[in-house]
Amino acid sequence: MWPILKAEFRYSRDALILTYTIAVLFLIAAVLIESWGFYNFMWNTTITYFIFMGIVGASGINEKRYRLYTVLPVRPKEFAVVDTLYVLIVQLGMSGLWVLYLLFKPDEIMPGTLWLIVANNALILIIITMFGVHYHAGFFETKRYKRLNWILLLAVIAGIVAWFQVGNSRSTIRPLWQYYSSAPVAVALVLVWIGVTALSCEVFRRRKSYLA
Amino acid sequence: MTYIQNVQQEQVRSGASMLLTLTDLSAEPLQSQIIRQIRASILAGELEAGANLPSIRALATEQRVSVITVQRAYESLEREGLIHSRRGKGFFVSELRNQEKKEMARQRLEENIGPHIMSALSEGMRIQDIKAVVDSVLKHNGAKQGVTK
Amino acid sequence: MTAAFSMRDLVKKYPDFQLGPLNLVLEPGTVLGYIGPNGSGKTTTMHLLMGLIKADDGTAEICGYAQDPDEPAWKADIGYVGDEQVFYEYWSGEKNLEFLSQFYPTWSNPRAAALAKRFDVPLKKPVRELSKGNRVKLALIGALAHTPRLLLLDEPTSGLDPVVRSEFLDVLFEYMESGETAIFYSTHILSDISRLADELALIDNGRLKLRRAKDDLTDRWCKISFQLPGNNIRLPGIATHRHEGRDHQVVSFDREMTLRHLGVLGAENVEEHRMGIDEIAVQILKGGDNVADPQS
Repeated sequence: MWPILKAEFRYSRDALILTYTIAVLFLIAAVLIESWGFYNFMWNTTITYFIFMGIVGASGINEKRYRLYTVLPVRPKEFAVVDTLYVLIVQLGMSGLWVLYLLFKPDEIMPGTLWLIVANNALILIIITMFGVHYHAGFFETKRYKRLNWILLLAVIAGIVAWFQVGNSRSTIRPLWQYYSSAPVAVALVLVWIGVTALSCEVFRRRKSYLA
Repeated sequence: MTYIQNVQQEQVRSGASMLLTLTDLSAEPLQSQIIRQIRASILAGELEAGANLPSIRALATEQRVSVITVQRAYESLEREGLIHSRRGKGFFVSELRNQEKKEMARQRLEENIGPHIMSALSEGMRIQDIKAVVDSVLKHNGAKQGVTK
Repeated sequence: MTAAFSMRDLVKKYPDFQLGPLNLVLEPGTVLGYIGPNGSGKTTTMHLLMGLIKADDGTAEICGYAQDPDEPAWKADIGYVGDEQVFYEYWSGEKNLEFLSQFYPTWSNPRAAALAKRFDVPLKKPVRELSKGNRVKLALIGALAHTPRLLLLDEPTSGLDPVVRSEFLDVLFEYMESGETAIFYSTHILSDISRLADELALIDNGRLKLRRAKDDLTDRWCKISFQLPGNNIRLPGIATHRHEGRDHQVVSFDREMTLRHLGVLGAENVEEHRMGIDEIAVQILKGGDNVADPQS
């Protein structure tokens, strides 16, 4: 497993450097510009993260990475763990920048900020993992699963859009964030993330074809 | 110079002093080519009695043919009594008295040209004309083969 | 000795095609040529053996081990060159081989380097800049460098020029010398396996039509021309029969039987011609089930 994880990081090294450079530029701007704010900065890095993952994911699919892996004498479980660790580590890097921001702007720290960070990490990872579930479920070769797959994808997209809409409305933003930035929600989201990761591993394992 | 050197290297590699020339272009199956060439070497005395033939796999690799082809060639030669196998040791050229060798060669010649002579007769050739053809062939090619052993 | 692979009633279903039930065993020390028209299921068979797709029914074993994805050591016994070659495209051939070497206990770097030299592969170039031929060569090195017990080759010489093809076949002959390895070689280019293959398996439309020693086929099949007056001449052991007046041409799959019969019938001007393995394969694939009996 470790050789594969190492290889994935080494292979995407240039893209990673570029991505983190962009994130750091956002950090610098957010620290220097008064009106930027913590929430905006979190959005900046999150969008950057998803774009990066989109590119890496698409590139991996294009190069048929799972096909390369399947020929190797390695358990499918280990690839699933590699995928999980990869998305986790990159996001943790981003949230490290969040903490760095708060060190520069300690006045923006609120009672629930720690839980907010945990909750956001979990939510982002849940979303990215669901994309994985959707992709792997496409190799089940039965109609029932394919239908379920598309429903799942639409649900996630609807959820993201709704979150965006809600987040944009000024009147609801404060109370919603306060509710969100709490231990129970954060812990619940982490548990959901663990569940979704397990689902993704299982779906990957049950694929009928690893040709792509 | 270089060509001869390559040839000598080939002989060293195969162990036995056996040089085979196999071709896909001939009408003769590869298996037959192997059998014929090894038989010729044995009957002409180039492969001496007791000499160790290359293992089936070694010969197959060297000549770029399938193992089964060599295996069947060896089995056929064994049935003819030209070679014999010793368990775990490989294949060896059998002891054949010169008389036996000559008899084998004679038998093969008869088998080979018998039908040709019959068809020549049926095409209306006379016996003396057939003999003249044999003499002519011997005159042109016999010199190359050298004196019989 | 455990078989290099053994397939028992293996089935894979697709909407408009079914492979199997397939029963095929490959013993070590054997080269098995796998021949069949496009779409007959050759590549699907390879994918099933490699574990790239999962069967709908039946079982397969590699070197005696079940194809358990959670006990994947059996994959280390396989060298695979597939219908597509996958790599880390932006990495060089060298880096890709370095990556692969971590997974195979029997990997030999000197061997990989020697093969690269022999095949003349540019190892420092990024893979995405390599020609198809070079990609295939790189895949071959990846498959051979750990000297696996089973080589699965799916049309490996497509895209290779004649010199490299010859080198490649040389390497395969040497690979077989120990007697402990086996090759399963699917191809259209029958001249590749005309000398290398010990046995041939013919597949058509998902079903195995024949499994025989190659020499058996080339020994027993032949074209015979002869002259015989009369109509309605029935000969045993023939696949096709053409005649014009007294002149006849047949393709026989049992040379001795047909010749004997011709002798009995008093045929004249009997001439026989050997058939190459490609001609024989075409006859079998065209001829339907009456032509040859499969031996699994």
